[in-house]
Amino acid sequence: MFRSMRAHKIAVAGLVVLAVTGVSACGSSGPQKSGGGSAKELQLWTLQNPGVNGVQQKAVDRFNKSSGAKLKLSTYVNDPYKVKLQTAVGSANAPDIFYNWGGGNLKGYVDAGQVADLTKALDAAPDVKAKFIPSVLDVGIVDGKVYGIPMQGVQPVSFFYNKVVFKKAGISAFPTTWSDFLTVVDKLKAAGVQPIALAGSQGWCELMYLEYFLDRVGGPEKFQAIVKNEKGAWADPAVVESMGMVQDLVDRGAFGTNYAAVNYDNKGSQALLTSGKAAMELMGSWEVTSLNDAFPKFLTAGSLGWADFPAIKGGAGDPHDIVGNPSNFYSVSSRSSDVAAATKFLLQEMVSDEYVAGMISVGQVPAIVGLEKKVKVGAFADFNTYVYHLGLTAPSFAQSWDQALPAALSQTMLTNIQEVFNKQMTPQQFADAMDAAAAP
Amino acid sequence: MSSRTQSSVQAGRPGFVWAAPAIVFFGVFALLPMFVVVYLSFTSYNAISDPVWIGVKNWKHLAADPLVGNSLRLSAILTVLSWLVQTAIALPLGVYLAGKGRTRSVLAAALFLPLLMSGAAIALLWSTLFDPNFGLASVVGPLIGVANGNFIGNPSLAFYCVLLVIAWQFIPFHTLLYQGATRAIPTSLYEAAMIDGAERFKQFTLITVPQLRDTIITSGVLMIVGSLTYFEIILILTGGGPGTATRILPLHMYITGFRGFDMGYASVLAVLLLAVGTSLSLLITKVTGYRKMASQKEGL
Amino acid sequence: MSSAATGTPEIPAAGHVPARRPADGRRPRRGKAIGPWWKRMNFVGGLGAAVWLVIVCVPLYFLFVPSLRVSADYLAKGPLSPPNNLTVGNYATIMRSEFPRYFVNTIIVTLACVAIVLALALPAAYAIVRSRKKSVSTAFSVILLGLAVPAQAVILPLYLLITKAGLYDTLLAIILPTAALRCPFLSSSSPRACGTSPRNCMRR
Repeated sequence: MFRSMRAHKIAVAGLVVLAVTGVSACGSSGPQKSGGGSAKELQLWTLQNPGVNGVQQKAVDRFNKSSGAKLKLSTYVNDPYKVKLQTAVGSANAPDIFYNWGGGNLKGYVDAGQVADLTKALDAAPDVKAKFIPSVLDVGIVDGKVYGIPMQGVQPVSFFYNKVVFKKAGISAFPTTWSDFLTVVDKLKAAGVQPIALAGSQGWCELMYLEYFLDRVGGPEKFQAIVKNEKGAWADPAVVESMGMVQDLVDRGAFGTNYAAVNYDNKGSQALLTSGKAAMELMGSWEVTSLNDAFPKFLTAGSLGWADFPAIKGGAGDPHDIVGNPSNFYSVSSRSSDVAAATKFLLQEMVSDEYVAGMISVGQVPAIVGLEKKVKVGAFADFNTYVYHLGLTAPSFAQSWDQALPAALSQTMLTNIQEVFNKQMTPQQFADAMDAAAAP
Repeated sequence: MSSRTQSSVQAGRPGFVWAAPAIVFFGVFALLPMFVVVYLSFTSYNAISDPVWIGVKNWKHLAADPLVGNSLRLSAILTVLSWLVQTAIALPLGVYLAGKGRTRSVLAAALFLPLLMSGAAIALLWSTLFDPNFGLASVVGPLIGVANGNFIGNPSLAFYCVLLVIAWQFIPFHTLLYQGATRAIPTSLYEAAMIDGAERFKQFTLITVPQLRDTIITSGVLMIVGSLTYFEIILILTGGGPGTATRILPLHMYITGFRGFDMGYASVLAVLLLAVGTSLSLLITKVTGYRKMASQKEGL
Repeated sequence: MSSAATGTPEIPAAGHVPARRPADGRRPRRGKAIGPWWKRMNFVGGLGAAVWLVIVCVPLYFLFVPSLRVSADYLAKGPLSPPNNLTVGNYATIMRSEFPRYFVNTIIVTLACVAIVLALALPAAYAIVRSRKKSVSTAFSVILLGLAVPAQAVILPLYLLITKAGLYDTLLAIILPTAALRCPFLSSSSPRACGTSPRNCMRR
């Protein structure tokens, strides 16, 4: 009796297993097959961003309607997206159109031969080509060929400050030179306020200081040399001087004492800025939409100010240079079943009036020329105008270093930057360590 | 036992076929990929293009990488401290909760709650708590001498923060193990001790703990091997920082492979982890005689 | 013993001796505790458990209560401020988004993993304890090896395997590897539970 009971139990267990796995197999979409079917389904992968995704979906719908194609939009969260894209590109699961950061990031895919060359298609549509801001379109060009089309707003990095705190400390205007900036820092400290909010637990927040310092001190060529991986590019005295300025700020207490524990993703630094505990934050232009989501009262009260990074006297760089994300790009996979249709979507929709207007309405400032009047609308009219002007007129728009450099080197760089900010590494040690890491 | 039951016990001993399905399933989805990882450790692979064979270059880099020594040291310290802290709390707690009484059952249910949360959720929760300006750290910090609430940004303290959060997550699990095992201890042992006049603490040290020996080993092996492969909390809480202060070896592997896209070298680290983890668990079970896996009960 | 019928042994509270049948066959008074009350209560244990309860519950408070607060309010005043602007709006937001689908996916994956692991790992655990064969103890060593496999390391080969099997982008692609990596865990921790009770052996 025991034996049959046992057999009975095993049979039941087996059935349960089969049932549940059967359900799970049913509740799935099969793997995407490229090719097959009259109207081929094309995949567009992009980052998740509630406002922007709505505009993108409308563009996809418009295109599908007008051309009879079946383009499908899929959105992903930032960190997993990078890994997913890396493994998918070059495999059978590659998307037809994918979001990327241009520059070094795009170069990685181009070097693997996985991206379609759009130069001819773009040259054949000169009116489309003329619409993009040249310095931004440049970031989508690798080895002289166009591989990416700008699809999102320009995102320069600027200083954001709390006007109320500034007023209380007796500061009338945001400083335009570095010596004035240091005076302001001291004034704020005297008023009992932490001068700068810094999310020190995340390397990319600290990176922005180094990006600007190197540009102001040494000019944009210094970073170009680093990107090209020229010998000794990291060991340049300008790099050491820039890091020295960083540590000078740390020593003055400009960042406070506990910045290494503050996190940007959980709004730690923004909470400092908006609550008045800190006066300034150096951040990309997405800061405004982010503040609007999390701290709307701060914006409606008109307490937010913005300004350029100060000029550094005696530096080789133009004070109007900017750093940040020139834009984000859509690229077409060379494995796509319908490269022509995918290219047509990009050339048609990325400059269309509806798409551009949609982007502006969600707070993005597209990398398109001639938008001076159009961006002056909506809740962020003043800020959009400021950003647009920056993007249009900057002599140089350096891409964020962690996107411009190869991934492995980026990781080392971010770790080392953190150590410099925490005074665990001297500027010279940083330069030497990066020089060693960049050596092939 | 009568001869009839004795022979039926012999005849009823399960054979390899009982373990076979698990071995096969596990072999296909865990062991086979591990062989591929060993292969990848001899290649240069960035996940876009095909792997390129480069021989022992990655392994040579292992010897030259300064971060590996740091990561190994951190992993070792984390493993030892985790084991000490978690066992020291989970064992007495598990024994206590195994007792009779409704309060104890309710308490056990409440203490079980952290197990129901995913590692990512726990890390996000504690990340908010550790904010030095607005989180719990800003309140507790000044009380214990860290005036600016800077726990997780301080290279020396960040490690202990991480230790705390991991312990917070896993102590409920080990408490459960100990609780279940304690309930299985025959009360005859306690009755005998009571007659001899042993009071509670002596009962604990002389009866409970020795009876829990196998559970301590199981729990210990899981903790030790877990410390060598688990990094979800650290990834979200500190990202390995500040600098490299909490970059334990599995996290170093992850960052190398999935942020730096250097899969070849990451595979080397993976093989290293597997080797260390397996050796440790085999060593422990061999030294403590656990491998025989024979039951402590009579008749089995 | 009184618990033989139920099969669940109990630890006697300190000072409590289970009832014994006295020699003259009279049934004794059950549950009569022995000793003064302060010796019966486990103060040290209770205190320790209470401290741990606080450590567990404080973060859980900060998990649950902020979920009921208006986001702007919570961020502006900080997590430690008293909650006075409660709302279920946050829950409504996630319910309107893709969350229900993710939840259903999670349930399916969980059930399937549990079913597979129980069906495969428990018999293996049973065999490991009861069998005397060498093949089984080798199996145990292999299983211990599996405990140490770092999951992220095998993700890429698994990805290739899953794609070749045509399971890409399905729930099975999650279920199978997850269950496979959980088998060693259960197989190594449950032999104790499998082989301990003499009654299970006698019951045949």
